[in-house]
Amino acid sequence: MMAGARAPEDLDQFLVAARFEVRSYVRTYRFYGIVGLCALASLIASAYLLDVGSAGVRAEWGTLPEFLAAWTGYSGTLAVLSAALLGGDAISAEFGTPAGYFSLVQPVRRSTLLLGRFLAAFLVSAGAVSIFFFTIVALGALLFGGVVGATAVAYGLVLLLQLAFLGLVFLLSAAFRRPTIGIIVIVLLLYLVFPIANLALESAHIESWFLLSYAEGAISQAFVTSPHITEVGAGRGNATLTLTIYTPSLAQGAGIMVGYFVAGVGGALALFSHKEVSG
Amino acid sequence: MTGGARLEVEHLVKSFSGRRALDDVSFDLQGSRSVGYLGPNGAGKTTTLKLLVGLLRPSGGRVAIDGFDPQVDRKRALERVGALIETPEPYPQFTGREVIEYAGGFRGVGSADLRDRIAHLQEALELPPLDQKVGRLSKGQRQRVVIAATLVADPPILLLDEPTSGLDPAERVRIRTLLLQLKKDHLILMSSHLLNEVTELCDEVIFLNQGKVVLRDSVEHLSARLTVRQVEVEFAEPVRPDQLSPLTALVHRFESMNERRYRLSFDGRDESRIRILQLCQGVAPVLSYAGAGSALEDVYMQLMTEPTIGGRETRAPPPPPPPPPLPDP
Repeated sequence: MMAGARAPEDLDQFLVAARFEVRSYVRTYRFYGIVGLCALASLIASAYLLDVGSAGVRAEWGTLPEFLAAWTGYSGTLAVLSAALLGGDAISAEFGTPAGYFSLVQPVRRSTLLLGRFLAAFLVSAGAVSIFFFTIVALGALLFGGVVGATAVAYGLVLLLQLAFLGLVFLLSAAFRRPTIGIIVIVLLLYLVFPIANLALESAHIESWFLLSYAEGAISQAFVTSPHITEVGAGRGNATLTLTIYTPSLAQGAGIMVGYFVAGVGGALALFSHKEVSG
Repeated sequence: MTGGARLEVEHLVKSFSGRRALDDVSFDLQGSRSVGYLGPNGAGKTTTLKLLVGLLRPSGGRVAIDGFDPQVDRKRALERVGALIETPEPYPQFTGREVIEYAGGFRGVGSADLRDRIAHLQEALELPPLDQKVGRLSKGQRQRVVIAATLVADPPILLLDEPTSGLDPAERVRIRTLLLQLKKDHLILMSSHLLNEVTELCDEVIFLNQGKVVLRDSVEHLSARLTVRQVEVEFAEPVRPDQLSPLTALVHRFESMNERRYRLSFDGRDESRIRILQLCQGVAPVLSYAGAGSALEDVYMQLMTEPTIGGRETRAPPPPPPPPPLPDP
């Protein structure tokens, strides 16, 4: 009968891994936290913008592309959080808890397992972030009376950004043994280290093309083309600080995101495939 | 069913931070049989099992499952193996049924087969309600669910790391009964601290101490050679200890259980055992005369205190010294 039966093809196992991971996510408080946060952000934005009204919004943001450029950019913030919370322990849990003694003795390549989990994390986190993104698009349509074609490009970039964040998160998750530490480090890195590094580089007039937070700016570029370099002065008298703000082009932003995605997933695969379960 | 099931371990070495947890361990197991893997804590039993399923990488040597090295072709190596290592904790938010389905999904068990297998395992293992989340199950219940997941595809090779650990006596009996059935057509390598369980379930034992194989032998052979280093004798009437003085040349320790029952320690030789019986019958009528203690316990204690005893492969401890000359009956 089944004895000695061959394990299914990698693609089938990939789908098994993804299916069970999605099922696992939707039963966690984290999932409801992320979805709730995105829904809350959407609700607050809706309440605020509807309160301001169409005339007020037009006075503040001018055109629909400018409105969308300003508001859809917040999707990146939610993308960071959803990636960190949903992917932060996707790999580290295998090494820091006894979970690995169950899943890693199954006849499945670790790469298949990781990619299946990655797909699950992407679907769930992208779904949550999409709540906010499409709420903003719907508000734009309501307040300005239309949609712009660039919305699809911007949404594509939001999804690409999600892939990039998850790539980085999976890499860090594979590097850490304790799930909680992994999530904390990821949140600190994405919310604190990257923005501070970005600011420091701007003040040193260095283009931070290697930071993912820099690439986020490309989402707005889908709607409104900003100059690549903007000089901004801050402070008074001798304490004036001049910042050089660089804005990535669409291609540059997308390139950085793809780079993070490929390097992150590649690194995570390498670490996960070779790491020992020695605890 | 095992159809050429084979576990090869060749000159296996595993070091952790310079300390050798396994030192040149070799064995080759084939066919349908159950092999006990014994040794004290830290001997390297779990490390060996982890190396066999690719959870660890060898520092030297190699392992192969049906010819596949888990480091090279993990999927092919593991598809014929069900492994229960340490105390696995699957997704706590999954139900018992989902945990079994998860393993079945990776092992290509179709949905119709899966239903049948789950029904069979539910009966054999008396599984807890399968719609309950595993995070809410007791340790023993969870362990039984994990064992069911291990067996769902009926893999011909089973690697079991203290499979009855954490189970209550009734649960142990269930698992033992199932393993007794499975060993007829599976290759089982099982680590355990419960020597009576190993005696009951295993055909062969491999003793490991300080990372080295110190003895490999069949349970039958060990039992034949070593089971009886103690005998319990029950007389039909009360016997005073001084009445047993004719036995002193053969018996080096007398233990009185009550006025009619004695436990006698001797050198373990069959000739001595026969002669002791004859001498006892000379003291008083004998109601019963039986071996006491366990072969594995004897060997275990001997090996753990004298780790150089035995050899790498199929060697029993050296025979005890010859008994003193027997007096004429």
